[in-house]
Amino acid sequence: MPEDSIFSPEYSPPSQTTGESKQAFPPPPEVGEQQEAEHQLYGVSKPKRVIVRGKIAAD
Amino acid sequence: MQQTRVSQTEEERILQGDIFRDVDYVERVSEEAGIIEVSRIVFPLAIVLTQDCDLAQDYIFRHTEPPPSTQDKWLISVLMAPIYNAEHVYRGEHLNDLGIKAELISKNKSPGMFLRNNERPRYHYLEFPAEIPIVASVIDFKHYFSVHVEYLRQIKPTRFVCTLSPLYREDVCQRFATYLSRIGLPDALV
Repeated sequence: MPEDSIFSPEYSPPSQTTGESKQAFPPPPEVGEQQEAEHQLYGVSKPKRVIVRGKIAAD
Repeated sequence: MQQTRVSQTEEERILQGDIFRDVDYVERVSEEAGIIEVSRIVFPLAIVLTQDCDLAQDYIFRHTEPPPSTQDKWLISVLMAPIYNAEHVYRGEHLNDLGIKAELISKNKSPGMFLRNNERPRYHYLEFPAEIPIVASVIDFKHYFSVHVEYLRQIKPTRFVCTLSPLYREDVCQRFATYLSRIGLPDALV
């Protein structure tokens, strides 16, 4: 997969029309941060649809 | 309902039973007049269902040095199923944000009990130990989807949550296989 592929996790959409691409949850807690992170719950939110549009870059 | 046993030990390769958060599923890609539009669904939680030996072989064939002479064991995709918040499922509103209304399942009556006892072939109910910060959840086998194996491997360092322990993992996957291979008989003639 090329680095600039739209399917790449690193792909940055040029525009966003619906939903939000922000991560719903912070990363899992590191060792030592467990107590602070105890209030964080995974799986509380619902699936979301995100639509992105962008121009295809010329070669 | 017995609690599910899980492990939080993270292996580099993808394991059957791995649970990830924020998994992207590309549902549609279109292009018109040089403008590309991609529609994707972000699942807050999803579980890997692909057979573990296939995942292991894929990893070996992709990442051992020197590389094998063929790519015979490479997978095209990894099968996953979404995990929904059980409270949302009872109310039939877990897919509200996608414009999908689901059936109501009365939590405190027989339908809710059947769901929690895993007597509904479509669903697999999970309760996690206290140290795993996941709410009571339901896997929906009908909504299985696939993602690229390398995509999962790339997001594993940041989005891996836990993996189901042996037997619990097999329980889920065997129920999924049974659900997928069911035979739909025609309705009785009246």
